[in-house]
Amino acid sequence: MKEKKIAAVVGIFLGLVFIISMFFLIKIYGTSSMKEGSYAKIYQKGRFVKKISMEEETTFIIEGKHGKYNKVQVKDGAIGIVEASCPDFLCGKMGFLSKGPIPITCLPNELVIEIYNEGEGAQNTYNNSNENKEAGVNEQEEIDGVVY
Amino acid sequence: MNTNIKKLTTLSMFTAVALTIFVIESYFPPLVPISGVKMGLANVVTLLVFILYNKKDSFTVLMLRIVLAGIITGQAVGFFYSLAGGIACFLVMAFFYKVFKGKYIVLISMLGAIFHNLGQIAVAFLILKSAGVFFYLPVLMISGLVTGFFTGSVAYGLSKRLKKLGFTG
Repeated sequence: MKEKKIAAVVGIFLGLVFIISMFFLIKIYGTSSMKEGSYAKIYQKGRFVKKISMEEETTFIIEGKHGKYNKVQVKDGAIGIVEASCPDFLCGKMGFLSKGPIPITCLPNELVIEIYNEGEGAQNTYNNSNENKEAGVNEQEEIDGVVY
Repeated sequence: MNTNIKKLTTLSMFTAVALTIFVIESYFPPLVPISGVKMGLANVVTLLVFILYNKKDSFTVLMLRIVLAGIITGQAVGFFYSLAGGIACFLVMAFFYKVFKGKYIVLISMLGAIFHNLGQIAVAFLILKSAGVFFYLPVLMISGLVTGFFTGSVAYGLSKRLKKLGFTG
């Protein structure tokens, strides 16, 4: 009998997880919370690598160690990965994004592209730690490489 | 001695099955273009060994599968995601298996799946140091509930049939 009660609680918990996830899913993907991003920031292994305006039309390669690379393209106000060394190419399958807050990530190459909206400051306001890292990036010189 | 050999070969077979499922699954095209959203079919074997044998054997099969999959696919980063997800999932399943005294396998599997994905998000945050990964959380929770339900049902059904065939330890 005791297990039945716990099972009911677990069932309710799972139901709540579903409802809350659905709520945030609609909120995140819903058009109302999405804003046109005006610039993107690229991070590699948690380190800031590059800031790029979304109005530009360019293609560049972010290089990593051991021949890892991601070819990033900015086109028509959207950013996406067109070519990469990772085996699953999930980063490229995410397509071209023009809005935040969902980032483009490439787990095997440890690359993150975050899209921000200018004027509003950082759209992802929680990301203060990364902002600080950006300031110290020149001293570190640990970026694996950006090739045009 | 005789029973030990039988158990050893059976568990080796389960490891091979889990590994095969894991590697084949990685070749499947993703349903949603987000890392971490996958069926997690290899967890059927973890659960199955848990039900048919015990906690320790299940953990051994899980660890062997993750290490061997890491070597075969050659993905160092993927290895850490699998490890974190696998351990988080296992601990939660082991706890609730004890609480439920072996009942409600589907619920246990669903809990395991969502904690597997939570573990992976945690590692993603540690490696990428980007809080942006938390925006994937709702998708991963829902996919965990769906795949956990599926793998749990499969493991439950299989365990009943395999018990009849004498796969118990």
